[in-house]
Amino acid sequence: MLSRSLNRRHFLFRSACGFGGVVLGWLCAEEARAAALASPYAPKPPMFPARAKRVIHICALGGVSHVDTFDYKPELERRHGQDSGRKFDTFFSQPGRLLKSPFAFRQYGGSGRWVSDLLPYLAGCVDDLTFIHSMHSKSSNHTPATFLMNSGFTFNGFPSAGAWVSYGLGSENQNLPAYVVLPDPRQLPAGGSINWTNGFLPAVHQGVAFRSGERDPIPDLATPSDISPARREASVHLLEKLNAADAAAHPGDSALAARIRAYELAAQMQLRVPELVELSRETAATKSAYGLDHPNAATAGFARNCLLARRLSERGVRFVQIFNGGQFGSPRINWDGHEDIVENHRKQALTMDQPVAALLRDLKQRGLLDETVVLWTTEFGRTPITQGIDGKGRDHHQHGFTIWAAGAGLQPGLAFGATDEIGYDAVENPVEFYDVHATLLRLLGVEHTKLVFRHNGVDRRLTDVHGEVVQGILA
Amino acid sequence: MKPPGSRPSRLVWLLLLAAWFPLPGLWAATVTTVTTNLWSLQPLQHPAIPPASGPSEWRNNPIDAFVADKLRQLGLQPAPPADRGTLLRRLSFDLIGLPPSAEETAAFLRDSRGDAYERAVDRLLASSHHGERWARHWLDVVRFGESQGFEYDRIREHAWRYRDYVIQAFNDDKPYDQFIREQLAGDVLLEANAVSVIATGFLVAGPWDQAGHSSASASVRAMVREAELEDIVGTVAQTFLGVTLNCARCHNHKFDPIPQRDYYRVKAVFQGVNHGDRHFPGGSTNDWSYAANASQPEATFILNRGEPDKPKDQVTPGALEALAAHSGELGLAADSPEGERRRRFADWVASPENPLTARVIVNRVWQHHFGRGLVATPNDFGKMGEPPSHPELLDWLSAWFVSPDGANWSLKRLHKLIVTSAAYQQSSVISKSVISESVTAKRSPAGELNAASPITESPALQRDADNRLLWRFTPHRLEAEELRDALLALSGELNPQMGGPGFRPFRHVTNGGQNEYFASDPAGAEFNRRTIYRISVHSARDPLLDSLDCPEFSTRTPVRANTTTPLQALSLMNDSFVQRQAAKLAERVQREAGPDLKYQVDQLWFLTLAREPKPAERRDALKLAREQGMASAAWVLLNSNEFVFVR
Repeated sequence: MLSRSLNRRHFLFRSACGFGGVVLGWLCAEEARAAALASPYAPKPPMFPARAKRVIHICALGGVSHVDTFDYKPELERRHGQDSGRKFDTFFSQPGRLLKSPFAFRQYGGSGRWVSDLLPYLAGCVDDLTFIHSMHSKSSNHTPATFLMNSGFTFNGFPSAGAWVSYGLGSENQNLPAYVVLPDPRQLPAGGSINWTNGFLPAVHQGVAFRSGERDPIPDLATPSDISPARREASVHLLEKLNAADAAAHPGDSALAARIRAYELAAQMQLRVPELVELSRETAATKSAYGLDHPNAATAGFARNCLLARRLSERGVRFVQIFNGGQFGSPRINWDGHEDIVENHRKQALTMDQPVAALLRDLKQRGLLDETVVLWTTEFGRTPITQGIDGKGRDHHQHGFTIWAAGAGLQPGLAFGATDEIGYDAVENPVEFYDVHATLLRLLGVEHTKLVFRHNGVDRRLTDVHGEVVQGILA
Repeated sequence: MKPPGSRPSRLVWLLLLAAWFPLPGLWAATVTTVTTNLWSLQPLQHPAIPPASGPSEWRNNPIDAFVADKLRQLGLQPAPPADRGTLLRRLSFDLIGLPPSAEETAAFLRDSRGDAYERAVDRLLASSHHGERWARHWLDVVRFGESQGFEYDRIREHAWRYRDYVIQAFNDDKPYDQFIREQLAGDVLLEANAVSVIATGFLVAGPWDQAGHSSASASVRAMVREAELEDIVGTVAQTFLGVTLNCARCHNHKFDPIPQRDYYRVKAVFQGVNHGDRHFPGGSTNDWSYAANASQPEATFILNRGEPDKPKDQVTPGALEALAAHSGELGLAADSPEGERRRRFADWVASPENPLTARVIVNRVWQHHFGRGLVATPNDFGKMGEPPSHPELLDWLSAWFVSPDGANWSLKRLHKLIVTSAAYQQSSVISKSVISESVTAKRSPAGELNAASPITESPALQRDADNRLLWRFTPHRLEAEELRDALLALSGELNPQMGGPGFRPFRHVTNGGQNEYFASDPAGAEFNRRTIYRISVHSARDPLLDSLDCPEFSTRTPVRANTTTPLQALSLMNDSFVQRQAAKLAERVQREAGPDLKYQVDQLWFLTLAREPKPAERRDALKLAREQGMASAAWVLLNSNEFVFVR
């Protein structure tokens, strides 16, 4: 608080009270009031005591097979190759036969949670994870399901969870955006920026997508190289002078002060962001733990994003979203294993497993996991049957799948909910993304039914008209 | 500020409860009773114009009589007229979305004729740039996109024809009732032609889920189609009627007298409409437009909770029940021909008897002139919307707008009436007297200013801080397109080419039918067209325009957000487009003003701010231009608050 108020006073001195000759006392008071409101990321108090201060949301795109990762189904081994006896309304309508997981499952940690050998690194973290095995979704169609996972709606154009959290809580750091997105370095997700849209919320809540691996990850961050520091400084000096005189001539228009303040914040951002993405101060051990030196470029790139996520969280960025996986073309660069679940999921797991596990350990070791929620989701699971009678892959499956969370306010090592014996239906404590969003907001100290924005006659919510806090996973 | 009679009676509350806990019999019996209460559903009133009051310039226009009357009731004074340079700049951005040229400003400042302002209004309304400016407002409302959205986000190569249709309609001052009919039913009108077929691009301007439609699963396809129809029905009802009919897809509307049945009756009207490219009459074989492709639909059923696999009662096509004086019963059988459904529905909307239609469009036009509608929620005239600030004025204007003796559905006449009002021509400056009054009042006994008495204590600010009653003109930041277009106009780089396929300022990568778009800033005349000609691809966002609140294309946006952010500041400081235009603007003033730096600086001020620099400003700018180049001075002005705000 101290530094912020000093900063503001400094800015006011330069911009409003220092220039323009006669500037009355009430003007300064008014401008100060406006400036206090002027940071678009100004933190807002939670509605009740928050368990978590911030979120890291990892989105594994394409549909991660629950029965091949975290939801162990011995019954599939017993009935492998048999007819399922269930009606499958799959996306491609080529229902095949029951397929046991080609990956070996083992129990890990003190909690004894089951994980397949697809994810050896994450297997070592299970005592910190809270699994929800009883997810189900409205759609088995990638993009609507992904929109639902991110925004609570299956249609284009609704604000994503990160935008809602930015809107509801602002940020702890005024020099960085409140909602930062780290797309898969290989490719943007299908629908690109639609995934982190502010929808009808003010533009300031749009996710700011960092361009991977660049010193200036935000467009227009850097002063153009052909403009010397002296030239920029002299120009800014005149700009401040004109704006100050103009504000003095237009008392009462707080928008003027807000815009002056925005330039001050922009200057701060120009300093802070390059420092943020500069990883040379990280130890070789840290970088290696994440996998920045991994021979697989996709793993190394994703590892870098995971490390960036920690650095963003560390600096108080409210919501960081990391995408693992790109679009749905060919060759596949996401978890959409229609053709061959072994080939596809092995390839994807290699990019994700080590970096995410390292992120969890790093957060924990730095004490950040106590105030951060790490949420790992996928838009839906995959069928326990093959796609096609002799297929080796699995189709989309929205009736039962697994997600997990870790960190502040959660019961670690817990397995919540369950699917039936073959992983078809969520039968025990079924959970939808509305409930996940409601729970996420609760952890942040926000009542999901009260975080509303009036748009075209509707009090819109992240959870639409649904959502119940999943009390069973809260610590 | 609620209009008389808007307070819900106990009966209405009971009926609202009935809406919460729907009992079909109760609804059928009572719904017309509800209509007598919600203000927006009442027939248009024809209020008398209040006696003129206030300063002499406030005595010529009926609008001013209504506005002055309200101000007087609150004991507020209108602001004096804006100075002429400010006024012309305001008018020019408002009517054509561009700043006045230096010549236009000079001529206007010299013009001492009594009707100089009216001449400027007429000139701007006749400009072909007028349609380019006002089409943008319309495209925001109708969620106009030029790609499919969703997973594939494929470009709609022919969607631009609808954008051109809107521009042309506004330039031609197409009567608004005809504009409605063409967009809802242009392909099935008796007088259908190329233009009217293209107009139905309105219906299908929203997203289309290619992956969902091609799913092998029938239930996936049904869900996708149901969402698509909700987009169409919701857009029709919000755009023309200010009714949130989409809220009644799953249950009776929770706040307004709209039973779930209404949603499905209107859905039955549009159920035959599909997305797609089509030929239009008279076009060559290569001429396509993205427009409605209609076919005879199957029967329509009310769906339990809006879910396609839970049909309940069958419905016939129809309109809203709640307008007592304008029946929504369209006389259509359940199997009536597809075209007949939309024709009759369009006639029902485009009728002078439909009070919503006139109120909604008059309010939209008012909103873009004053920055805020008489109803601040332009897509929601229901109970959850805001009641009008000036209900009598809204009704007077609406009745005048549709009357053959009034505007007779002419939007340009409506524009002219509004911008020639004294209310519109007021200064935006909060007058010294307003401020000193409050400061004096708040002086402590010791004679010192109380630091805790900001000027918001002034009577006007205290009673009406949001300026809803219009005691001054509300300044506003330039919108994204205005700002980008203004930079091009000032730099002299604006390419005035109208119409045709949009420019694509991005790198486009396709991958197995999927599309990725990466924003870029290519230079060249093709990209220097007005921003409305930028192709509206859902996932091809532009950082500069985004930072200025350019809306999501799939979201119906009747009111844009108006934010001030550090990312916005960064864009204006560093964006290569802004840099380029600043450099070109510097070259231009050097070219136009000759070698003398002083004249160059004066010309720079005149172009960007429509005024001369003050001596101190000139001195500072000269110093900067000498030491760091004229482009630096141009950059300063383009970033300045005075330039970025319209006052």
